[in-house]
Amino acid sequence: MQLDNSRPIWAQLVDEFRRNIAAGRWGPGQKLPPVRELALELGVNPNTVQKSLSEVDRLGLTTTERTSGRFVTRDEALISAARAALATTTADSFISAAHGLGMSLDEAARLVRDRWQLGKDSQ
Amino acid sequence: MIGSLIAQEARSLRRTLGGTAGILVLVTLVCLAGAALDIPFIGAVGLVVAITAAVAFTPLVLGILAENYWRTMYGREGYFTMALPVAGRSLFAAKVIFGLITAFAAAVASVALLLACAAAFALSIDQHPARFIREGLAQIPDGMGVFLAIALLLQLIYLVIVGAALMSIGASARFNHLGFGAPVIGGVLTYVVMTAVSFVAMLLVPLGIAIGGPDAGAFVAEGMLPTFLAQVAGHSPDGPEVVGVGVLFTSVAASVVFAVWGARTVERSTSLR
Amino acid sequence: MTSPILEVTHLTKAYRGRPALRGLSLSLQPGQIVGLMGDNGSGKTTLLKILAGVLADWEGTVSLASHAPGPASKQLVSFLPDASFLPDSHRPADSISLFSRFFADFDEAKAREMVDFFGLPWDRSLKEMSKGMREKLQISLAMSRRARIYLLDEPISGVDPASRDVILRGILQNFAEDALLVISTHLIQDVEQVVDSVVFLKDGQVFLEGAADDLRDAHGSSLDALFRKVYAS
Repeated sequence: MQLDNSRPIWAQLVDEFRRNIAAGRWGPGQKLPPVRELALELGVNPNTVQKSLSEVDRLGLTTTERTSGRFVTRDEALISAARAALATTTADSFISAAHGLGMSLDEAARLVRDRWQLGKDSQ
Repeated sequence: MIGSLIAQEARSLRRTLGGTAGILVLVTLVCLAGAALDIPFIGAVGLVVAITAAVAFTPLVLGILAENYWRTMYGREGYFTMALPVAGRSLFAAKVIFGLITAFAAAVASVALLLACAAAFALSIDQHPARFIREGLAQIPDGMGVFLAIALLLQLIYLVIVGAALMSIGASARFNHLGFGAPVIGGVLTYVVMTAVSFVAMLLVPLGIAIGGPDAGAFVAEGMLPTFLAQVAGHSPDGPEVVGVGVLFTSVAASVVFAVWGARTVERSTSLR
Repeated sequence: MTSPILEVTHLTKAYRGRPALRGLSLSLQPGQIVGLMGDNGSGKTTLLKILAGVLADWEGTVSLASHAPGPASKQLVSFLPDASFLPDSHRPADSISLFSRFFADFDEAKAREMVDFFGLPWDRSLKEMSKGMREKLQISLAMSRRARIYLLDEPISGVDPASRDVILRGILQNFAEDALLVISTHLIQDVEQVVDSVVFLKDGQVFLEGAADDLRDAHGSSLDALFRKVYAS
């Protein structure tokens, strides 16, 4: 994962963890890897990981059971909402970039359809 | 902890000291074989080499101890030594104790090798070695012999303690910008001062050994001043001729002073560069 | 908020008239990794040496887990100096034995694990190893002590970039959660993601300090960029 050192790292990790859950890499009810393992994997300080996970807890996407550990929520609605929120952010970025290039909605939609198909074919 | 430190000293110097001792003993014995067999010319050269090796053994060992002290306390290995959870004075004590034991062993070895030289020489002139040595030693007056032995022993102790102390003082914050030059300068100054102090002690401390005359070899309760003044004036002294033994006391006093000073310096002024 | 494990007040040290630390004050909590940063002449190494108890003749107060620098503090502090401090003739096993003998909190098994993690040869002496390998061995030893405070002086300088990553990994992996770990370095970029907070030293005093993410937020830049800005002036 590429981290941007000029912005708070913990916030970037929160987004990364939300993406993991939204995309199903961390499935509903799945137990998260321990803080230390995540820290090593990402090459960051465990305290930073801890802070990010606490925030993810606060967003309701994970719950911490003191003895058993941290688990992804089973609340499908919440996960879908997170997916939608992240997707919206990505879409908004694309739209503002397309605007910046002076594209119309039709042009933009056609581009997305073509590139999507290309992506599917190459898999 | 001091025990572990001393054991560690032994462990790290084992190879160097053992190697040096081995080489010197080997050289000496080979030379002495040549001398005892009375091989012309080579025998004589061999004897000289052997005597040199025997005498040089102790200073060589002292040199090895000094280099080790400097490197492990103030060289880059000092960062390990000074990070150990032990008091500075314990470090100093451990190194000095190990140094004293090693120096004493070296002195004994030197004496043993010198006796071997004497024995070889005796054999080469067809004399019985044991009788030759005994007759040689009998030449020295009793008191003098004792005095010399004690003086040399105290001198050895003094060298180990003062050597370590001077290195530590030289490495303290005030002087360490001079590098190894600091203990060298300190050594020269100490030598000058100690020579002067010893001379004065010899003259004034009221204990000496009579030489010549009926009481030769006995201890007398006077210093060397009268003898010295008489000799300077060019005639015999009123009483017996005396060699002052005050130097023994100055050796001990100096050793104590430097031991305390060295220990304190390591404890309070260690400043690694 | 727990109490600080390292407290320095008005620390002053001069080398023959030339000041290195001018009334430096610092207070650090345990359970974090602190980046100690500064250019040459900022007093970084002097500070670490005083904390490690290998440099005397200073004024002020220094407290490491409530002890002044001395045998008691050295029991709890693991110091990794900039230079090589082991005998050239040592092989990894010899150094491990040495540490085992003199440090009660030394974990031999962990040390062996780290030597393997770094891929160091057991049969080569230090004299025959590269600088990077020697550094890795020394780090293995320093991090295998179960200390309360770790002081690492430039652990990744003079080491190739690939080794730097491995070394930082090794440090992260073996960091005890309730300890304080201080890394002094001028390679800020490499430690950006590893430090909890930073202390910038300049001219023998603390110039700037704070939590890493807070500083990123406040200045809108990476710590590396912030460092350059601070020291350019």
